[in-house]
Amino acid sequence: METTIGLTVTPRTAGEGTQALDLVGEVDVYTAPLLRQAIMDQVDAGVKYLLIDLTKVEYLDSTGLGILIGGVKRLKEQGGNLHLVGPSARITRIFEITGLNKIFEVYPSEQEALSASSQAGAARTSPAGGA
Amino acid sequence: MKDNEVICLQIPGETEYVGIARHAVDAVGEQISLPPDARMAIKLAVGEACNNAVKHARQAGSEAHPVSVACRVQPDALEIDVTNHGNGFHPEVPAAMPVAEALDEHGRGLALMEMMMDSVEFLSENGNTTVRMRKNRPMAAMAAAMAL
Repeated sequence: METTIGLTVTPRTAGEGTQALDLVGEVDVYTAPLLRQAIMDQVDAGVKYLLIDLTKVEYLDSTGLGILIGGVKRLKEQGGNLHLVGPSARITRIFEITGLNKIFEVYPSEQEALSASSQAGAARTSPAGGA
Repeated sequence: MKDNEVICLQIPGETEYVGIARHAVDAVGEQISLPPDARMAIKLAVGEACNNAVKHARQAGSEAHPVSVACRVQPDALEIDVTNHGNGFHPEVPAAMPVAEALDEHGRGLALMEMMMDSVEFLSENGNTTVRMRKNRPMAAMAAAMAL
């Protein structure tokens, strides 16, 4: 894989009521503010379910983990969630050793993440699926 | 690359240069045939050490002090020093990994460094703080490097 120093964050609509951020490159102390702003833009726009596509992320440090935790907190505050999609084995290992695999919902593919989002959304809107 | 050679790099104490430092150290790891998992661990530990160094590089009212990174290729290990020439800092070691469920957004850097490397120690001298980290070289990597 070609190494990319830096990060690009591209927002898009992933499904009904679900937005996605496609990340390419490295999430570190310098690039993490870009990710924080992109997440906050979605939160401020009223998005509840946000997918973060990590398929093309080659590096993620503690600053990036902190940004993702902040995103989970803010989305859950407004009744939604943040789902992670497609992390490499090495990025997955970072979630495991920090224990954050218990906090984040991680899916191997976007389709599975969208299915989880739609089921959660349906459960919240269904009279029988309330809290 | 011969044993006991030292590769040094100095970066400005600004976050935008941290990536250059960790990629330079990774290139040393590649040159001595460290396996991919060891190189990834070193990249993360060096990145976290540089994050800390840059955070403490700026004294009030002054420009950021530079951060030095030195790699020593030893027969059995790669030893890396990351030195902050600004304000010294004295973290508690070993560091505890924050409890995931508490959803703390900070405080994982030092614990990650310790988990990624075989040893991590902090040395203070003349107001400078050096993080000295070692990653042991597997036998196969040593043999491959000697064959180059």
